[in-house]
Amino acid sequence: MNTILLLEDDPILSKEIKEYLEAKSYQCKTVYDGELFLKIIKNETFDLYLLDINVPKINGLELCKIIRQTDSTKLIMMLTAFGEIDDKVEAFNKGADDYMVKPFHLEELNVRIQALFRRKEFPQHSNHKYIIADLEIDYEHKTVFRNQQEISLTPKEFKLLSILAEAKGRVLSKNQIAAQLWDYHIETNQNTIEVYINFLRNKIDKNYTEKLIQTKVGFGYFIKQT
Amino acid sequence: MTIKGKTSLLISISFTILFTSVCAFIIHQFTNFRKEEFKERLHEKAINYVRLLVGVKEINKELLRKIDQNSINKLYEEKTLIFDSTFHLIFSSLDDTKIQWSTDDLIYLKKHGSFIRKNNDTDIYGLYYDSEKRDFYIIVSAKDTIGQGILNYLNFLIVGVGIFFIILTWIISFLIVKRQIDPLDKFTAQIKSINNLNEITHLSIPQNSKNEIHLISKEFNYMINRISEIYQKQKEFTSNASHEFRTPLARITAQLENQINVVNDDLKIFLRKILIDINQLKELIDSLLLLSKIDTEKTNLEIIRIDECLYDSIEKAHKQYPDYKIQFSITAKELDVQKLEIKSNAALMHIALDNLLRNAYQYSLSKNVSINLDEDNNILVLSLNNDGVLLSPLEQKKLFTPFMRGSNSTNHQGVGLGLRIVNRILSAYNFKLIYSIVDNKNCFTIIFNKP
Repeated sequence: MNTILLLEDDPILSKEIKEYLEAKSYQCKTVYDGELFLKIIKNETFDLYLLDINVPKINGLELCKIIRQTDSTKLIMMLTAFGEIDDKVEAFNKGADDYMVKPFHLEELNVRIQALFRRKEFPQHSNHKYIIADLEIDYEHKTVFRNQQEISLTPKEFKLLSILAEAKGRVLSKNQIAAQLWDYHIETNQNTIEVYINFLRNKIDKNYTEKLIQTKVGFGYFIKQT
Repeated sequence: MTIKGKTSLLISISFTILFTSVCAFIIHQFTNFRKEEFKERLHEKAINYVRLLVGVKEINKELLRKIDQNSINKLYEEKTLIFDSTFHLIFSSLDDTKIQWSTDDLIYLKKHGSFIRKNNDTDIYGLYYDSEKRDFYIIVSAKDTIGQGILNYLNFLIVGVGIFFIILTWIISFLIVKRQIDPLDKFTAQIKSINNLNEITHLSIPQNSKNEIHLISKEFNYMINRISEIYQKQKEFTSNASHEFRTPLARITAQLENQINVVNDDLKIFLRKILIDINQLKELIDSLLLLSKIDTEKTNLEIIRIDECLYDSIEKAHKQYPDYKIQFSITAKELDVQKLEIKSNAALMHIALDNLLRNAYQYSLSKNVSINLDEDNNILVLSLNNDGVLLSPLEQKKLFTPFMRGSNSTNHQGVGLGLRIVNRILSAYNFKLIYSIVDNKNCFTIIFNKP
């Protein structure tokens, strides 16, 4: 059973969350101020900390920072009324793994907690790289290098390059590319694919003599294998 | 017109009027002086002739002509005509010059004694000489070459010098006023540079300066401090209000959601309705807080790719509404990456696109929305079309009015702030949001004008 320590100064909200989480088979302990929170985590271990920011004595963000100084693996989720982007950025910078703005649905809280545990249990082993000629695609860090020079790609451009790379020289039609690039819920026209292939060519091939992204007229696109 | 321009212009115009008036007065006075002086000389000539005719018994016309011919005081193109009391010409000097005269002139002389007039550049002087024995009418004409020459030179000098000094005055007055107003320009530039109340900049003031502009700057600094304090308090209030509103809502939501699992079906329906209302209240709080923050957030500019921003919003919308169907297309044939880049605040642009996509879905009948990216005259254009109920012309006019809900909003959740927020965000960056009806569909178009 996963254990959770909830830091929340509102007794009613704290009680309701605890009840809900226990009903979902978590072991949940509650605490109302920052100092007490620190005392408890010295003596007990928990799998996840749920931290409100605005609590008495030591605020949630400070606690997050303190925890991360000694433990980088512990799961931390912020539950707070501060919903501004700056607050979220600060929380993530101090080591939070997730952030929920009040008011939230308990069901969503549960789903997010599950996702955090899942990620911890089955970490993604996507640290493989794709190398062809002088092109290197690092899937873990989402970076692309050509001739050891880093090329800046947007997420969509990176995904397009990955689709072409994973085809390993196989020609992909525009429809096949579109289906993978935009998932099933977006339909797109053929010009859109042409535009993105063009963007990619300008970034990947333009300054190099060897052109890797090739067109098979009437069929589609592929990456030239060497 | 600026104070600087206005002051320079007023000084220059005043000086021009004054200088022109003085020049005109001098020219006028000298013209009169020349006229009077030449008239005197013509008068002397006329008197001399008459005195010779009247006073010297031996004189006759021939002798008079010889005297006239050999006179060392002869004027340029001088011509003399003498008439007796019956208007008969009794003497005419020997030259080719012609005098324009008429009997009316002689009648006039009889009545008024003398006249002087100008015919082209020749002065004509008439005199009625009434002696005890005989009366004479004398008309003398001559050109005042010396006087006219001096007058022309004076005119040239005054006009030339006048123009030179007027131009000089305009330049000097502009330079002086510019120098005097320069601190005001610096003051304006410094005020313009204060565009972010989060980073207060004070105007620099030299110590012990009694310059009026520096005194204004000093007062301005006091004012900006006060505004900054109020602004910070307002920000704190927004943040605190956010917290204070959200925590009780979270408490209510949590209690209701825990109760839903243990109550009977009727109560379950009732509690779900309350949860929907709470959700709407949460959206309203979020929207109001956002509206109050746009002006402060908008200054955090960065270059963002609008297509990537759009994909993030599409992903988010699809997670929220799994049956959302989107047709996305780029119609511009040769689109550069740079054309998809806009200078804006990414967080605000995401909020604007999230709202538009949510709106397009909620008001669409088929849950089907087509999105198109195109360029028109180098300007990026994004349009979203849905097949919802079309807006009436009156509703279109009030589209961006806060809390406005159209007739198509029945059975739709919302508080009537979504489009207002989108429009506020877009107009903060000079982008334009337009509603139109295209092919019987609602069409929202964003025109990403270049800064």
